[in-house]
This record gives sequence, structure tokens and C-alpha cells, in this order.
Amino acid sequence: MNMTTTSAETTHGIRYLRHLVLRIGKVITGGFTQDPNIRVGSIMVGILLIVGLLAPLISPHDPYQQDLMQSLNPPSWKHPFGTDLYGRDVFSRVIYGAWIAIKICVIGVGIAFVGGNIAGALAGYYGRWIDTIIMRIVDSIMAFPFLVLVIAIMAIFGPGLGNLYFAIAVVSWCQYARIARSKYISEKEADYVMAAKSVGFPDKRIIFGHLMPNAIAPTVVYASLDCALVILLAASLSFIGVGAQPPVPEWGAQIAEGRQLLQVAWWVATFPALGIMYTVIGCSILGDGLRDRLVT
Amino acid sequence: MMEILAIKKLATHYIVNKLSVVAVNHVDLLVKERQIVGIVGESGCGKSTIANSILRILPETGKLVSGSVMFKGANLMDLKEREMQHDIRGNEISMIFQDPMVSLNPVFTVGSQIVDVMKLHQTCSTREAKARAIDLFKKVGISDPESRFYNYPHELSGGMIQRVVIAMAMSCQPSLIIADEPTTALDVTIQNQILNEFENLVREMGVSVIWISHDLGIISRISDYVYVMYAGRILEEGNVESVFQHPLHPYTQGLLEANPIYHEPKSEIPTIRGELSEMTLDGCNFYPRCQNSNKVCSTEDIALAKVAEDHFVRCKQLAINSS
Repeated sequence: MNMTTTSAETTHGIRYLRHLVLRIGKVITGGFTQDPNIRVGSIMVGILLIVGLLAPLISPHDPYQQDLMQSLNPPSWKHPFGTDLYGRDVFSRVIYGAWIAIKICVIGVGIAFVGGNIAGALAGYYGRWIDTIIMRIVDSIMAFPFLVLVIAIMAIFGPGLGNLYFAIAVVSWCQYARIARSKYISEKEADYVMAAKSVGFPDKRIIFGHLMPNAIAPTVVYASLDCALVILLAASLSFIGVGAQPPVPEWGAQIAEGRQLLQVAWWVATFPALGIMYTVIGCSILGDGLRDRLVT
Repeated sequence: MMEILAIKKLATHYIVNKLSVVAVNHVDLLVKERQIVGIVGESGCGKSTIANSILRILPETGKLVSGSVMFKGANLMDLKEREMQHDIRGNEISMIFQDPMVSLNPVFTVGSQIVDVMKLHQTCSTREAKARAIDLFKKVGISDPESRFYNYPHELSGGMIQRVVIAMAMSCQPSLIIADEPTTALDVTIQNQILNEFENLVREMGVSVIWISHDLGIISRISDYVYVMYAGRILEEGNVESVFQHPLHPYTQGLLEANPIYHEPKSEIPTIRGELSEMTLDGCNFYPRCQNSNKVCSTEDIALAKVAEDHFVRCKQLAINSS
């Protein structure tokens, strides 16, 4: 008996995930011709994804390879974005930075998205004391300025990329929980929920199988906008030295390295900064487009 | 005939701002095997609350205060939530809701939803469940069931969806179906078709039904036994023939009087004066609106009294006159 329930649950979960991916895919392909936001946003994010995922193939040099003889060379055919103080190729480092940005988005936003949705679902569906506990935790996390809390967490656990994902997830799940909760509260009164109860579905199935597909859209939209925020946050943290540590080619860390050299070698800080700008703009535009089409 | 469901002294309250509002006031109700029982009454008299109380799916504010619901020898009020959910809801007792358009989940195909329900309560493969679902779709009169199976709720008309919901309610061969105004949201011709199909199917499968409606025409047509409710209480009950041919309670008489088909066109239709009153009065609930009422009615409560074989009325004046 137990076996069959679990397998039913898994197939249901898979079906529902497939549904979600298909729906977002449909929105993007459907909106591609009609909605300039989706068109531009998905092209920009698409290029970023390709560059990031294929970083080892695209980059002409090893981003960690030092060559002190080639220190601070201006942009040339051999080094399109020039070289930094240690003679590393800035172009390759920016490309690897895209891969790190993708990792930060997927892991940081992913954990926050999943955790926030589950917490919001439980709070919204059950209400009463569960709601009180979860939402008071959310309130107390949000009472701190975002950046201060992240810096505090990084200070406790020590700098580094791994802790950076964790710190970002810890602070950003709150927004997802709030958005999801409000959606669940309005959605749980719907008749199909009552009908699902009347045919004997357990609460778990009702929340995650029936309600979630109907309540997830606003958090999906927020996630795409949040990617932009999270990339900025990670870059800021690395810039002030509590995020990714050198020699990791994280964009914020690269800007920090290039900061003092700005007057002699503008290219070391400028190109990673353009990378951040490009990513943030792309994510924001795509998020805007998704919001128009996904949330009615 | 064997009893399927016996409700004794059921009382359900809604707690609103810490005040409790009586919705169902000591109702007794009996459903026998293969019987279609009608509950008729105006909006807000507690019909749906009875239905939700049986399945224990009241909204958060609803509270079961007292009473017992005996279903096949077990008291549903005493069952654990887990047993209720696993063994009773959908499996033994299923429910059909008023508005079909919103009682299915909008993001899944109707087929996958009915298959889900079957797999929840019975051990069968998806393929078997699908075959049975298509079979049921045919029985409830859905044309081209194989392709309807893959439609989303918004792609079907109201009548079609209500058929799907009926098929879903029957999918696990329940012993009792509670139909909470299932045809109210449909237009009259579709209503007629669905009533016919539903009745045939129910008689064929031998399921008992509680049919809730405020439409006297539907109740008189489909049910075997009828309860007339007003303000949380049952005022009159009995065989459909007996109640509709010889209504004894002033409320039932008033309801039947108000039916336009018994009157000349354009003539004034009699109404029951006043509005639905407080649910908890000392005497008869209906006396503020009753034409025959006098002082006794406002002070003394009265039980349902037998007036004929299978016909009970709760009215002080009738009791006084007959004695």
C-alpha cells in the first residue's frame, strides 16, 4: 500500500513539474512573436546561458592562467578584453563569470523558490498557528536590512561561493513565502479544493498536487526578477570581499581587483561590470514579459 | 429496505466573530438502500451544511456541535480524519457540487483528474482506470469520450463538465452520492437531460442519493422521499407523492402555492411574506411568517408528528386541530 502511494505521489510530482515547464515554455514560445519583452529578455538570457554553460569551449584562455609578462595589456586581437594585473585573460574570466552567475541564480534562487513556496503553501493553507509561526519568522528576517543580514551570515560562516549560495537563500525565501501565502489563501477557497477534499485526497496531495499548479505563477515571475537582484547582491558581496574570493572569476570580485587600476587599465573592471549589467537587464526584461503573460 | 445513512440530532454551528450561528438544528435524516432522498428549502436554510457535515468538510468556521451520523453501522463523527479521508470520502460517499465549472482543477485534463480519483481509492493501473473512466463517460452521455478525456475543464461546456463530475462521483462505486444542487447552474434543457441520465444510472447501479435542491420540480420528479427544511430544521417530511399531493405544513403549502405553473399567466403569484428569520427561536422557526400562527407557536417547540404513513409534520396548529 505504502509503495503505491509513494509511486502515485512521484508520478504526480513528475507530471506536475512537466506541466510547469511546459507552461513556461509555452508562454515563452507563444509570447516570442507578440511580446517584445519576452523576445528580447529570452534572447538575452538565452545568450547568457549558452555562454555560461559552454564557458570551457568558448573561452580562448584558462581564466586562472597567470602570465606576468603580459600584465595589463590593453584589448587586442589576442586578448579581446585585455589582461589583468597578473596577465590573466579578462575575456575568459568574464565568460567564466557568466557560469558563476548562472550557478548563483540556479542554486540561490532555486533553494529560496522551493523553500519559500513550501513555507508559503503551509502557512496559507493551514492558517492558524502554522501561519503565525512561519510568517513571524519571515517578518523577523525581513526586519533586517537585506545586505546587513547577508553580510552577517557570511561573516559567521566565512567567505566563499558555497556560503554565498546559502546566505542568499536564507534571506530571499521570505519574499517567496509571502507571495505564495497570499495566493494560497485566496486559492484554497475555490470549489475545486472542496471537491478534492470531498473525494478523499489527503492534504499533501491537495496542497502540492492541486493548489500549487494554480498558485505558483506569481512566484515564478518573482524568481526571474529575483535572479537580477541576486546577481547584483552576489557581486556586491564579492566586491566588498565577503563573497567569492580571488582568484575565482566572479564578476564582483573582478571589479574589486580592477578598481584600483581603473585609471591605468579601465578594461579590468569595466568588462565584468558590463557583464553584470547585461545579465540584470536581461533577467528584468524577461521577468516583465513573464509577469504580463503568466499572472492575469 | 436497509438503512444506509441515519443522521440523528445533527447540529452544526458557524462561529462568526466568536458568536455561534445555528445552521443545522437537530436534524434527523434517514437514507435507505437504493433510495433517492430530496432535501428542499430556500437559500441559507442549511441544506448544504448538512451535506458538508456528513463528509466533515465544513469550512474552518463550521463546527459540528452534536449528533451522530451512522453510515453502514459506523458513526462518521467518531472516525479519525485519516479513516474519513481514506475510506469514506470519494470511496463510500461522494459528492457533486453546485457549480461544475469551478469544481474541477483548471490546470489538469478532466481525464487525469478522474483517473487520479480512481487510483486514490482502488488498486488499479492507469490503463485500467482510463478504460473505466471512458466507459463511465459513455454512460453519463458524453459524446466522443476518448477525446473528451484529454480536454481541460475550460474547453468543455457546463453540461459536459457536470457529466464529468457525475462520472467522477460514481467512479469508485460509492454507496451514497450527495448531490448538492448539481443542476442549478445549468440551463433547463441540459438540466433535463442530465436528470434523466443521472436517474437511470443511479437506479441501474443501485446507489443511494441525497439530492439537495431548492427546485421543487426537480425534487418531485427525481426523489422517493423528501425533507422540507426551513431555518435549519425539518418542517415536513414524507413520501414525495404524499408531501406534494397533500402538503400539510403552511411553509410547504406556501412554497407550492408560489410555483408559477399553477397560476394563470400574468396573475399575481402568492408569496410567503417576510424574510428568513433567526434560526433559534423559542417556538416554531416559521411562526413570524406563518399565516396560521398564534401565540402558542412562538413559545412552545413541537416535535415532528406522524400524520400518515411516511408523512411527518412539525406544526403546532395542525396538532391542535387534529386533537
